[in-house]
Amino acid sequence: MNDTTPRLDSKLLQVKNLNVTFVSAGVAVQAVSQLSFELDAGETLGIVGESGSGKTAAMMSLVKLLPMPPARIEADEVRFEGADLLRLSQQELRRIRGRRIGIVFQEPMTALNPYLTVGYQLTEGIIAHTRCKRTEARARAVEMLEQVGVSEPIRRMSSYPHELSGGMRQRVMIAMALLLNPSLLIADEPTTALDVTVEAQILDLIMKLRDRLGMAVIWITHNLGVVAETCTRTAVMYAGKIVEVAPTAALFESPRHPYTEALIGALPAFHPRKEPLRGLNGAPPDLSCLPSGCPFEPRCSYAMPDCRRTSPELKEIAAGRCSACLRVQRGEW
Amino acid sequence: MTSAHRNEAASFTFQGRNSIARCFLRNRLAVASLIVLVLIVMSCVLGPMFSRYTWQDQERENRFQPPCRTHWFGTDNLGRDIFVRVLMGGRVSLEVATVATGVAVFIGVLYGALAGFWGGRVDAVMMRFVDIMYSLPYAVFVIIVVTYFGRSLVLLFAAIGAVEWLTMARIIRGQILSLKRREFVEAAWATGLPWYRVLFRHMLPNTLGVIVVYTTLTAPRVILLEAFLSYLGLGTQEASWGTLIQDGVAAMEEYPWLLIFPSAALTLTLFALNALGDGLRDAFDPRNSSHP
Repeated sequence: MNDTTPRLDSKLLQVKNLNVTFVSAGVAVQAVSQLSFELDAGETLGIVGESGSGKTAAMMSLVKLLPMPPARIEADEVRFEGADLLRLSQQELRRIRGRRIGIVFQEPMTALNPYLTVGYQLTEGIIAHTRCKRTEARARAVEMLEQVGVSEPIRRMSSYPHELSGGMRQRVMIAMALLLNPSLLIADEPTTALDVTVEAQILDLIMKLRDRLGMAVIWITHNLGVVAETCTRTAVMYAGKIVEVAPTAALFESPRHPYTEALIGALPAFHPRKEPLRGLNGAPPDLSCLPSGCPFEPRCSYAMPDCRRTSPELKEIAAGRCSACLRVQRGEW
Repeated sequence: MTSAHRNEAASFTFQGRNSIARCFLRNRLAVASLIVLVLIVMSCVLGPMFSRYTWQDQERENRFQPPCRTHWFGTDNLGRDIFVRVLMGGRVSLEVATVATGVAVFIGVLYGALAGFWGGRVDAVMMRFVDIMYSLPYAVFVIIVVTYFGRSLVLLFAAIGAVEWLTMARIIRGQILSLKRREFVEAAWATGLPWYRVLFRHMLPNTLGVIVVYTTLTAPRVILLEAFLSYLGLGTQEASWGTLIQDGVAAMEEYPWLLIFPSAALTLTLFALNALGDGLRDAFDPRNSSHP
């Protein structure tokens, strides 16, 4: 854990104390605070949390894809394949975006440019990064479209996005993200906007491609079911912080944070039939004025007086498991 | 059935090129305007070549002829054929309109796009400059420039273009600002494209509708400004519609045709351009795609 010689490790991505603040009209909103995690090559990490818990802001800040200003990104280190991402120049960062790190966005309806053909949008990335010829780029794009299961890929190349269905567009997005064989794919709720049947296909597709191409995947979602199916490890975020990290199976079996427990309790599939579903009372805290104690304390059914005073840090509680709950850390749960 | 389906899909996010054309063709006034404009341009360009007269041929014995079979629009105080002069004046006026509008659109789009794209302090400084230019009374500005540097066609282009780009810059800046937050722009960044590709390939094409529409609305203003300057005696020395109207006004009471024909040509052109601009604006407006 306390490795101070980063050269020796085999981690693909190491994030230490990432902070993202949005400043507008003098009010600072701490969207992500003190976020640390690691990712092995080929691993799949799920990032789960409610809307506004900072999952997207945290992952987009890794490659500085947030509008700055208003966003301010600080971190001790964001080390990816030996380079500290936040200290790279725009030029160097540009070479990593799209080539080493691919991103699939949430909304396939709006993430493709309506004025450009699918073929153009697929090939321009290849050409910008590898300076290969247009015909060669087209051949690679067609091949990738075929891999993601787009029928008649050659005809699709000259289609405009509005001529494709939602699932088809998301496949195109995935093809675009994977064209240059990135070692990390960030999937930002890629199936939220899709039908359930299409969702299953897309999940399946990404997992298959992950195995075939050997890339690591960070899966941002608010859907625990998706995490259960796809991720080896899961991090739960609340109010801009990771509150629990654990191997996915262990997380579902015995959650080690009251928030995780509440999330699982609110999931129909993991619930005894007869009892009514337990929702979670209250709303996430206002990120512009966080309480001094544990951010989850006001909604927590296990809260003790100490929880109001100290904000617990994420600590290792067992091999491969971390939790940011005072009770858990004191061994009372 | 299929076209209804396609319309539905298109109205969801983006109107395809075909549906823009379809929407435009449904607008009879706009289509008629386009035809009229094409006819005006063609006759101004080609007409004088087929005429018996040139714009400066003088027939001393035929001064102030009212419209007749040999001189369709009559003749002026030197016996020159008004029909040919109106066509030649159209050449000058349309030339000024094309070049000055082109200059204005080019500068405006580039300036506005860069200001909106860079944002922050750069944007603030660039747009304050536009505000200052705006607050100058532009006609006075053009008059000063023309009187100071003398009358020339090139200067007229530059002067009018320099005034008319301001609105274009503001419009495009606003468009770019709102496009910056769109997901497909974020996706373009995520692909690792350099900034100029993101701006010129991904953002600017999305403002094309606005550019086309505003161009057709700028052209008549430019023509009018040129006519106004010529009327004041500050425009070109060649016969433009403005100078013809100026001559016509002097003789308006006795020889009304000297005023009527150039004015009619100017009015018809302006009307057609405005109607065309309106039609294009409606066609490019995505909310219109729900129309039957």
